[in-house]
Amino acid sequence: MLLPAPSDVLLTLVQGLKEGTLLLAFFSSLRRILVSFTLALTLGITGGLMLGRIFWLDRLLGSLIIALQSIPSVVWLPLALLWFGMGEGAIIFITSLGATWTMIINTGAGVKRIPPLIIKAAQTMGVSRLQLFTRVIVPASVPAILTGMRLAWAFAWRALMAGELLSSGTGLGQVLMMGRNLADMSQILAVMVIIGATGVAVDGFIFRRLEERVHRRWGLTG
Amino acid sequence: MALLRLQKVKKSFFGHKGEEIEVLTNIDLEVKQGEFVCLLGPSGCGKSTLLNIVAGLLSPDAGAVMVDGQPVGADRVGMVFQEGGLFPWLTVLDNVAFGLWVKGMGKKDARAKAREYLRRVHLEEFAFIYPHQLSGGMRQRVAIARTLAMDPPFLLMDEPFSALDTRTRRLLQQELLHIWQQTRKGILFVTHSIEEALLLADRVVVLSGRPARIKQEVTLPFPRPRDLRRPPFVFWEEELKSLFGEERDGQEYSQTFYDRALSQTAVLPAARPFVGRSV
Repeated sequence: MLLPAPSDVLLTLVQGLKEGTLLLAFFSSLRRILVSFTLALTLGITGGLMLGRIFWLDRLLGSLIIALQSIPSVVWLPLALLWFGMGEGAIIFITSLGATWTMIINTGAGVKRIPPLIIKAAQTMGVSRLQLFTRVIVPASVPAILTGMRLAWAFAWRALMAGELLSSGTGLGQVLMMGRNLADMSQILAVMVIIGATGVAVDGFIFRRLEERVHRRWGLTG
Repeated sequence: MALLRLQKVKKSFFGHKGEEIEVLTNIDLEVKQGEFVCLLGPSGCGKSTLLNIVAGLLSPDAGAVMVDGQPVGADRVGMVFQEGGLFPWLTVLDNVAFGLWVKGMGKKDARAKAREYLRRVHLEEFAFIYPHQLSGGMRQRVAIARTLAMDPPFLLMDEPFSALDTRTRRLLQQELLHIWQQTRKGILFVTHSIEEALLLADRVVVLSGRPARIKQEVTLPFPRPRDLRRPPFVFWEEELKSLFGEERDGQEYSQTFYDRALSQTAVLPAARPFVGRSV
């Protein structure tokens, strides 16, 4: 048998949610991604704003960051395991790493795309350097930051699952691996359904909505 | 007393091969309190560079720029740009209030004052929508309101109406004259349209092609509203055109030509479908 019957998968899913094993795994993964994502946003937005505004920094690090972004984050896992041991630390490290590069690149590109006219207009109104940053550069980059967040979320979710598959703990990825060890295909597929549904739900209900709202306000929708 | 005084202002840029390109040479210019001065010149002649220098966004290589007897700083003049430069993330009201917040005024006071200036440009009922929902002409009116709200002693306008259709442009020109007559601020208005300069200015300063220097100054001590078909303006239009013509490039020519064609057809009753008259 290649695949279990859909009814079996559904049964396992409902049972797992009822008993709480799948739910527990889900919340454990959710907690990890929230920590990692917050970390990635903080680092990524800060880095992106700096790279977008500081010319020499961009020249120095810009292409390096693009190169780093093209490395799948799970590749960092062996190194992370050596640094942090078989635990939370390693998983959070690779998950945030996956999102951080994208966040830096998108935010930086957004800052560089701000029309010079807007900056000039603000300067003729006498903004200080700090005000220019907080009241013009940051809000003007919001659409790019949101796009970055969507991508970063997708990258982080993938990295998290890869990380969990390969290390110990109680996340969805680990339940997936458990299914393999028990040769329980319906459990594997039930977890895959949860992983897919979570990815779609977060993107659709949170990020896409936020992005659409901002685009409507700015008049960026066609 | 001169509100704005430029003395021997020079500016050069460096080209791709490191060669020096002189953009402005020895510009002397004065604008008095309450005076409306139009700067007329071919495109690419350095008008915008000059304006950026007056706005304090660029510093001249040589010479002095004084506003109200003091060296220029970014917040001492108000500037209106060709394409508005409004902030898309702020409502119309907050766009006007922005400059006041920057100056340290409280949010509530700033909004109240912004509302007052929106009323002046007849956009009060659009206070809570976003700039992209406005037409080009309305956006320029917001830009004007935003600049006026800062109450600068002096206004710089960089071809503020050139991206608008002729009818909207005429309307905004009238509105600007009205506001100017109320506030009596000095205005330095850059344009490449001879008609616009003749309609608006107390004085027209004609710049030459690069490097820009002042080619001629024409004083127009005539009351407004002006009818450009009347003798003094017909004379000055021809005069400026011949002066300007030597510098004119193709785009400029067609723009002026288009303007003229439209202003001439507007005389015919048949070509004025927008005059609301019930039959």
